[in-house]
Amino acid sequence: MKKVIKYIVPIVVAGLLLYNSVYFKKLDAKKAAIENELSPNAFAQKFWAEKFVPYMDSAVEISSFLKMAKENPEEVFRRYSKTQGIGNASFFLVKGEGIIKAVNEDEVLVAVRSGTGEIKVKLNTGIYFGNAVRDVTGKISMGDFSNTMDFNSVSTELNKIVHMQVITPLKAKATKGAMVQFIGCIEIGQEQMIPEYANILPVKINIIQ
Amino acid sequence: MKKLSTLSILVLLVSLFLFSACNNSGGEKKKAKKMAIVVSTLNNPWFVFLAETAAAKAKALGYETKIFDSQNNTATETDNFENILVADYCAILFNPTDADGSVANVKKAKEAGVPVFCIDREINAKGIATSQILSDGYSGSVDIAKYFVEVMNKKGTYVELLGITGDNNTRARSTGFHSVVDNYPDLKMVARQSADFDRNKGMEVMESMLQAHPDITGVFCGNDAMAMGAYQALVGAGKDKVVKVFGFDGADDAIKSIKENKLAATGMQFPKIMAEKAAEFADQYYNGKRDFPEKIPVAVELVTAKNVDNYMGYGKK
Repeated sequence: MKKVIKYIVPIVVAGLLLYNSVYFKKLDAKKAAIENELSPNAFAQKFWAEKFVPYMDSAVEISSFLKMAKENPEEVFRRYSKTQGIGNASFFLVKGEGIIKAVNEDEVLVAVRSGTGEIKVKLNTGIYFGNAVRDVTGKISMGDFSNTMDFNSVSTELNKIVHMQVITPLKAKATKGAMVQFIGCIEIGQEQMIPEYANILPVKINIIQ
Repeated sequence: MKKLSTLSILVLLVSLFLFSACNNSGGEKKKAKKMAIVVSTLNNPWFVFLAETAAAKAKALGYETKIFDSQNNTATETDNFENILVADYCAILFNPTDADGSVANVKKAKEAGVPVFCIDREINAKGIATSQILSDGYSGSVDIAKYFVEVMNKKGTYVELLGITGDNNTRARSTGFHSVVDNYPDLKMVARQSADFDRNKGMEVMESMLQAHPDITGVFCGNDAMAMGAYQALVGAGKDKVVKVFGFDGADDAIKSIKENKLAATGMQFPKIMAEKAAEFADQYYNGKRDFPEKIPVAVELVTAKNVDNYMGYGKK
């Protein structure tokens, strides 16, 4: 019996020490923790380069999107929309190509060929204040941040990136009659229907004169 | 045979010890079906509504409830938590007084095995509250600001009344507002002061601001109570038709005021959604669910004279 006790105590102590010295943490959680120690500006820059730009490959062609939205809006929301939380706007990433019909102060109007007709598209070139760039990929969540101000600041920083890298050059180069290829975000508010024409925040532009 | 028997005892005892040392939820003792609702203050009808809605939903789900008033004081909030943690509550539905100061209370609850669901206001921490159901105040303020710019015609002088310092909602609403308005150089803020989300203080601060800045044409207030107080001050000064007042919350009196073309706009929060979701989550936790989203934003909707008929106090019709 003494021998049993003599062996139990060290094994139990060893077991306790081992249990408390090893922990398992998901790699994703650790990576997310490191990312979120970055400032909102650094986070936005990293997110834009490493996640948003590659994500642009998943944009839906605009005329197919609008056709599907007319025929089966529930399916479009189910397949393509991204939303934060409860009651917030839904975001969709679309792409297209068309001819610039007009260049106004805060918009560029584009006609996109669709079947035998045309779709009117408005590329917004004014200051954008929403959350499309942050939320359209579904890869950033409020819960990733200890503080929602950082979550909001990331949205502002991403909007600045788009303004500098996409909107400012678009305003400078857009001319009536030029061909433009675009990728952009559509924002649909809660309980709104998908509109017949598209009002788009451009996130990638290629103008072919 | 003797050695094998000793080895078996050792293995059995070590296994039992490690098993009992594990933080296994299946081994937790089931708490009483009682939920505590801790609210920042019962001196503001919005928070009264929030607390009572949470209590009503919890009762409907079969729980006893008690509402604890923190009186906007972190020390009182701490006392509330201490009383709750010795009284076998199974969950706390929590509206914090301070995003940093309230973290310690939530930690204590977590250590005691009591889940905490934050409502409306957050704590600045992850992995401590079981879930946080929060108003998306920043985005709501962005929408109010866009309307403010339109109503003010992109020019004029205005003042801002802030909420309680230390409440993240104060900062979120103000920052959201300025993220839009500061892009218009002809819109100038000439004064900014806290009125602690309080109606009477809102009135006093507005009176004082009017003395120094009699020519303002706009006021943005971090909540409807301050907006109603500010409006009262403007009526007293005979400037209610000239100065446009913008609030935040979607309180009953603010909605009526917008219908009467007095207040210009507010941001409708949805305390019913937040409070009921918290109670539902707590019920799910009681029944064994453990994976909850860390934070959930709940949208805030712009209410103006154009769409006010779709809304009532604290929600949509």
